[in-house]
Amino acid sequence: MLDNLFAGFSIVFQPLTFGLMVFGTTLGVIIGALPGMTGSMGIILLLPIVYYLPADTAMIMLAGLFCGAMMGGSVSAILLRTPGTPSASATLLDGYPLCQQGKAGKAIGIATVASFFGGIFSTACLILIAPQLARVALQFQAADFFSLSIFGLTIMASASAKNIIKGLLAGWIGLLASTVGIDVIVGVDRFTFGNIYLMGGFQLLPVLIGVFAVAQVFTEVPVLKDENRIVEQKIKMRDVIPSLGDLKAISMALIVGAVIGVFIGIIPGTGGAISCFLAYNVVQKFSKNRDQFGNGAIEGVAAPEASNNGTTGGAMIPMLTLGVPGDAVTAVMLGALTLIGVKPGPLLFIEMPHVVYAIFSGMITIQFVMLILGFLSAKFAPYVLKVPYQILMPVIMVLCVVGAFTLGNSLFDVLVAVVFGVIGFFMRKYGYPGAPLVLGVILGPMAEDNLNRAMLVSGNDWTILLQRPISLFFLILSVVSIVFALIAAYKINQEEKKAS
Amino acid sequence: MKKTRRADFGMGLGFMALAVFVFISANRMMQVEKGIGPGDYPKVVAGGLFILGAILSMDSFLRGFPPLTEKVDRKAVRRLVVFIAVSLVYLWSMRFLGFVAATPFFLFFGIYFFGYRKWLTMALVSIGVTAAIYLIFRVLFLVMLPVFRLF
Repeated sequence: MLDNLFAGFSIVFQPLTFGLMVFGTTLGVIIGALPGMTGSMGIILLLPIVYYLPADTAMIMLAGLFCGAMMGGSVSAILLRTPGTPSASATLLDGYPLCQQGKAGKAIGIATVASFFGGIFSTACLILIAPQLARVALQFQAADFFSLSIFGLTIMASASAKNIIKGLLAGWIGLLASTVGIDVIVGVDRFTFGNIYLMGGFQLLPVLIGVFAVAQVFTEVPVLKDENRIVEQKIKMRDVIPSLGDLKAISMALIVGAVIGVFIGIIPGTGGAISCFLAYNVVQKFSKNRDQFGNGAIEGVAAPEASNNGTTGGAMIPMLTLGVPGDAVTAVMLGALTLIGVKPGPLLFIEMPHVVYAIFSGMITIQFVMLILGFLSAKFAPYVLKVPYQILMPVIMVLCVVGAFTLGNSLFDVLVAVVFGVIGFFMRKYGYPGAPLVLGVILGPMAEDNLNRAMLVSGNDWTILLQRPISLFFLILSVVSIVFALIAAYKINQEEKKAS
Repeated sequence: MKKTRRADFGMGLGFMALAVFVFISANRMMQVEKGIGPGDYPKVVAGGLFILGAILSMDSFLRGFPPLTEKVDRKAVRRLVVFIAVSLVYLWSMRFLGFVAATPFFLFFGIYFFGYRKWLTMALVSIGVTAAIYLIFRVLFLVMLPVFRLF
């Protein structure tokens, strides 16, 4: 393994790869810091460039953006009381009070160190767990992969929304969209209505661009926003770097946050938004300074930041080994991998180990780059946050157009992105999560292909899905995830009833 | 969510109708002896969609609809429709004008539309961003962009 890691480092430190890694991480910090812009949108904006890069370089750049965005979200949470990404929602509880006390630099410094620790811990877990899990996944057969894709869809649907039915419906619409085009098994035209552009089906990239990026622009259209109001204060670099006393005070919060982050990250369909609150609550419960939480406790900044960056490596474990993304950002990354001809799953570790280990080595290096960028962001973020939304949104729209057009040099793909943007807008408006829809488009062909193969092997015996232990295991997990989500939804409804 | 129940009911019915359409269309597709035919998988998906749509409709119906108190924000709807229409015109115009000629106009309009009113900045950003995107994508990464073509 060490040999492979060193080989990975030799790729990471090639000038182009290293430069793009720093670029990706910097862009991630900026995008993460801008409220309303998420890591998924950042990755989407980089997709046109990804086409023209080697797979390992492209993935390292995207991983940099993923980690950078996770950290960047804390900057606006601290300075604006608005989390840049949902994963930084818990950071503002103590980050903003620190800012009001004139300690914005200290808060950003603590958030940076915590993100670094969470990132390193989760990368170590990724390196240790992923190859073992891939080895197990090599035993999977067609029926198992079909059940796995059903599991991926149900768990993401059940975890991504208050209303599980809407999550499942979004996933099912994605599955339906994946059936459009010429059927790969027999070659029959399906739901194209004679349109030649639809014969290839809905391509993943325009769907991704539409649901995540164009929908975001459309969401901003009805509301005219004021420019962001930042608490003005001079931040000195010496205040940003935490003292030894601060590090000692947050050590337990770092460990607890990172462990929770990795655990939550591994579970498909969850992510930083869930783990940050969980870590915050656990650390608050066991802290000696629990009374200070909510009034500017540095542990209250460290725990959620270690936790949300802890999810980064965790979320990549199921994506790389099973081809099932851990959260919305890794769902987009999975799409990016597919676009550049890399098929995530257990075979990736055998067929393209250089890509896998370059990602591992890249993830380690990214944490150090992020540490430096995080400290610097205290100085420069206030300027970035002053960029008016009125300018930013039309520019994003143009980048979406360029991104969709590059897929096949076709304006039809851009039209698909706009149509899915409108669909994504209404989905947001009526509480349907976007990630299961995209996952449905990704997993749909995998599910159909493997179901067909399972039926061919078994002579059309559907009970093969229950006879294979791995397949049965995933189907049971799917049912359990839905039952748990239904119970949670029932409890929320009861509480809402009581409240009203 | 209480306030979306009325819409949920309608959407549930819509999903059920879509599922019926998919099922009927898929049922007409050819059958195969071994494995699954081209229509089998869409039929399974349509079945799931029908059940989920029915649950959504039933659930929102049984809970009851809240009284219609909120008025539709017509101004917001109009803004959205106008922006989508302008985006579609931008796409259509790129077929003839190409990326370089069409984009500055779209950006200028978009920035104005979002409420920014510093004219010089708007002009500079519109031209500058178009030039930067062209240089980065077309010149540096050799990505194809729509070109000027009148005929």
